[in-house]
Amino acid sequence: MDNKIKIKLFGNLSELANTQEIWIDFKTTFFELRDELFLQFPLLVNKEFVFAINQKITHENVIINQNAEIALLPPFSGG
Amino acid sequence: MNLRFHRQTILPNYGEAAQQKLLNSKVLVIGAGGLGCPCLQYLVSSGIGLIGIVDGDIIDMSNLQRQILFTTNDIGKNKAVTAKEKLKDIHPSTEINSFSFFLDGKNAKEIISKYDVVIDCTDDFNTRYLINDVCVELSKPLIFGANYQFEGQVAVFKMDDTKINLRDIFPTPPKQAMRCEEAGAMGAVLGILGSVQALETIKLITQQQDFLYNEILYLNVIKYETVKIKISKKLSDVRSPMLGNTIIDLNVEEFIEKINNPLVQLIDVRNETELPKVDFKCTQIPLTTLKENIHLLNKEKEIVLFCHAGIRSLEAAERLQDEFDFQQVSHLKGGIVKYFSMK
Repeated sequence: MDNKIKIKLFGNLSELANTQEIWIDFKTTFFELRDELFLQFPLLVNKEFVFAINQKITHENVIINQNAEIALLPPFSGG
Repeated sequence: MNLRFHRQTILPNYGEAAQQKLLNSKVLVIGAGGLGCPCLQYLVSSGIGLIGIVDGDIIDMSNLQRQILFTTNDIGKNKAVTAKEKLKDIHPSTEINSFSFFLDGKNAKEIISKYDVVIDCTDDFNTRYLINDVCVELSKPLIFGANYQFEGQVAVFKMDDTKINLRDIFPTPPKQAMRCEEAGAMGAVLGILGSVQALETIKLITQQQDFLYNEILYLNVIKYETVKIKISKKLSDVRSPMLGNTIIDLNVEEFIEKINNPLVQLIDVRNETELPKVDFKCTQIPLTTLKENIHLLNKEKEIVLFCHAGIRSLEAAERLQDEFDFQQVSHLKGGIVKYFSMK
């Protein structure tokens, strides 16, 4: 998809969004992409999860490549 | 050759020396529930020398579909004591200690200090973070496991020099994660996850090259999808880990790196008249005017605060997180005084 980027969802996030992957408009930095995600999927706002960018947990702002693999990882607690 | 362990000692990269490491090892399993039961069975079978089991919970009817060491006759008994009873004949030379109470801030250090490896098979985040923080303090390798419906996570925190741990993923205990009672749980799924935790423990003890070293495995057993995610140190160490505070303290070296980073917004929270003046570009927002000037802060950037000695910047950082929902906030510990003395 042109100018879109795929985001994979895990755990209760995929339940919330009713799908295991979503597509949003591509942005060149992580924080802009995060804002775009919250704009398009407001139900994710205030949910607990971390971003994995290219299989790496990312907290700080970084430049994003359009081929980047992005996943949202919620905490699990069951045992 | 010990016949009991023959089949595992002929595996590539195992052998007698690896088996001896297992026989000499001391492993603590915290939580004898859905993860703990299968994990314990495989650990005892593999020949671990000493196993501790901590669980203050009582077996009830709803546990039996997934906590496979227990039977209908065990309802009402303590989980740690009952697990020990069930496990002791599997490999009688394995010494098993049961602790029939919950791990808490008072007993955690004393218990954990007696073991080489700790396995978190609990089901609540307060205990998970307690275990994590004590393992960080005592440098004890920690095998984390958790379940959500048909998905699971397993991570290995080796606690070597970097001490990467649970707080590098989620800095404070999550509040929204659902427990089995609400989300549901399938015994066989917990069996897979508990087995992965046992296997990673065995790999760690026998010093195998490949294990989930500072990685978290996400496993979905509906589609059989796995993702391994690398965990790296989250900026500097989190202040007062046991208190769950997430403001990041920067030392002067780390602060200097932030000065020229275009993704960082530097904020001076001193009053305009205060000296010394700084030799780099920043935005001045005195702490007392933070609220009125909040629009000057760019939420897309990482916010780095400083003041004279690091007291006001810490307060500003806390307010930005708590009142204004900023997530990327750090401050210069020791303030600009420290900066000029070290520069």
